[in-house]
Amino acid sequence: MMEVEAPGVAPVTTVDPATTAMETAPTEAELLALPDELLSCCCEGLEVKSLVALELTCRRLRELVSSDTMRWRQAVKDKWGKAYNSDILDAAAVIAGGWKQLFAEKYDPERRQTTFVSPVKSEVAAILSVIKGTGPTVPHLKRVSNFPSSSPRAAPTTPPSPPYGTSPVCVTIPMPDNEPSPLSIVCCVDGSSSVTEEDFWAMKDFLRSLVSSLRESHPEAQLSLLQFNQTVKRELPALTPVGPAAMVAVQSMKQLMGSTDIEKPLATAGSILAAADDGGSGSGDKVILLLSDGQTHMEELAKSEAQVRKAAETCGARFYALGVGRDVDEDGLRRVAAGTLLPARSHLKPVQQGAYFTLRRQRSRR
Amino acid sequence: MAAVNDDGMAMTTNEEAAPKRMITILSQDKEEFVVEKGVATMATLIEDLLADVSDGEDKIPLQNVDARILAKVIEYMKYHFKLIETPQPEDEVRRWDREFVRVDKSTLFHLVLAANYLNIQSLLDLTTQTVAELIKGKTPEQIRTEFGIVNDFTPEEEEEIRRDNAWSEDR
Repeated sequence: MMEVEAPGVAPVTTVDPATTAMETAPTEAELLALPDELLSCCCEGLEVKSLVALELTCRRLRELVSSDTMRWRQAVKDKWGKAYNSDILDAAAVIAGGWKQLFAEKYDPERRQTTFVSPVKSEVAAILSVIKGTGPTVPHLKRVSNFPSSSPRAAPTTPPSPPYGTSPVCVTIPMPDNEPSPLSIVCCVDGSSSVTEEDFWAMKDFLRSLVSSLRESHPEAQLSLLQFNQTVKRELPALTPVGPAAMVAVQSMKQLMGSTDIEKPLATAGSILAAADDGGSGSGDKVILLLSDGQTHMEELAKSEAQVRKAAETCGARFYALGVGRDVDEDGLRRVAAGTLLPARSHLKPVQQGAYFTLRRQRSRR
Repeated sequence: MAAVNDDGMAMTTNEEAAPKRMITILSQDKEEFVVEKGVATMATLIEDLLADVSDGEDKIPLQNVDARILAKVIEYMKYHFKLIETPQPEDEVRRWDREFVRVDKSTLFHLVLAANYLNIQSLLDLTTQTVAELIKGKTPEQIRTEFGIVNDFTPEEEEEIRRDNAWSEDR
C-alpha cells in the first residue's frame, strides 16, 4: 500500500489552478494545490520576513499574502498591541490604507531602534481625528491606575472617583457628523525646564499638524494657545480662527523654562471655553489639549483632574493629554484625562471624552 | 457489535473487558479500515456523519481521502486517542508529532487536505505549521525551488513588489 514517493526536488511544472489535488489524487500534491484558506493557515506561523518572501514568489501567493488582513493585523498586534497608543491602531490602519501598510510604516523606526518612540504618520492622523471628534471613541481610560492609596488625597473639593468605563477595548469609527458643530480648542503647552528642546520641538510639530489638519477639515475651528511653566503665557490669548495667525503663533513660540504648574493653564483653558460658551448657544464642541511630560507632584495632578472635570461639567469640554518627554508620567496624565469621565447624568453626553496619547517618549528597554 | 450501547458498555456479559464499538471507514479507493469508535470520532467529520446514520450502520465512506493517506491519519488519531487514557509528557508527544510529519512534501500536503476535510484541528495545525517551517528563512527563489513554484511575474511586476516591500529589507 505504501508506495515510495519520488524523493527530492519537486518537478517544476505549471500547476493548473483548476485542478484540485483531491480530484486527481493520488498524484503528487503541490503547495499551490492547497486552497487559499489552507495556504493562509500555513502562513499563520510565519514572521513578516517570510510573508514578504512568499509575496515575491508568484502572483497567486502575492495576492493571497498581501490581502491577508488577519495575518497582517496579527503581526501589528503581536508587535505593538501592548505598546503605547495601541488603542488607536485600528483607526491608524484604516488611515494607512490597511494593516500591512501600517506595519510597514511602524517597522522602520522600530528596526532602527531609535532612542525615542513617536507615533507614525497614520497614528498621528488617528490621534488628530480623535481630537477633532471625527475619529474613533477611545475607551481606554479604564486603564487608569489610581494614585497609591498611601498618598494623601489632596484637593478638598475632589468629587467621588468617577466610575471607570467597563466597555470592552474596541474602537468604533462613527460616521462624522453631517453638521460639524464649531470646534474650539485650547492647547496648553508645557514649557518648563524638564521638557527638553527636542521635546518642545515635538510639541510644536504636533501643533503644526493640528493646525493644518484643522484648516483642511474644520476651517471654522478656533484655537487658543497657552504656554506654561509656573505661570501661564497666553501665546494666542483669544480663540482665533485656524488661519495663518494661529500657525505663526505656534511657530514663534519660545520655550519658557522654569518650574511647572499644570493646574493653572487648565483653569485658564476652562474659562476661555466657558466664556466662548456664553455668547453662543452652548452647543459648540470644545476641547482642551495638554502637551506635557506630566512631571509634577500628585497633589497637582489631582487638582488638574478636578479642573478637567470642571470644564467637562460646565461646558462639555473634551480633554486629551499628550505625553512628551524622557520620563513621561503616563499614569498621572491618564489620571488627569479621567476627569472627563462624568457620571451619566444631566444634559451631558455620557460618553468618554478624554484620553491620553504618547507623542514622544524614550523607548522602553526590553 | 449491535449489543453495545452508545457509552461503549457491553450489554452482553463478556469474560473480557467490554468490547469497544468498532467503526468501518471506507477510503475513497474503497479500502476498509476498522477502528474503535473513539479513534474514528477524533475526526469531527466522522463524528458528524455517525450522528446522521442510523444505529447499527457503522460504515463511513469518505470521498476525499485515499487509503495511503487515511492509514496515516488513523495512525495519528490512534496515538492521540490513546493519550486521553494514558497521557504522555508534552515533550514526548511533540517528538512523536514531529516524527509523524517527517514525510515527503506531497504526503504532507495531502495530510493538510485530509486534516481539513476530516476536520481534525490538531492535525491541521501540526501539518500547516510544518509547511510554515519549510517556508521560514528562505528567499523567494529558495521557496520557489522548495515547492516547485513557477515565477509568473513580469520583470516589471517583480520590481514593483520589491519596491512595495523595500521597508522590510535589511539596510
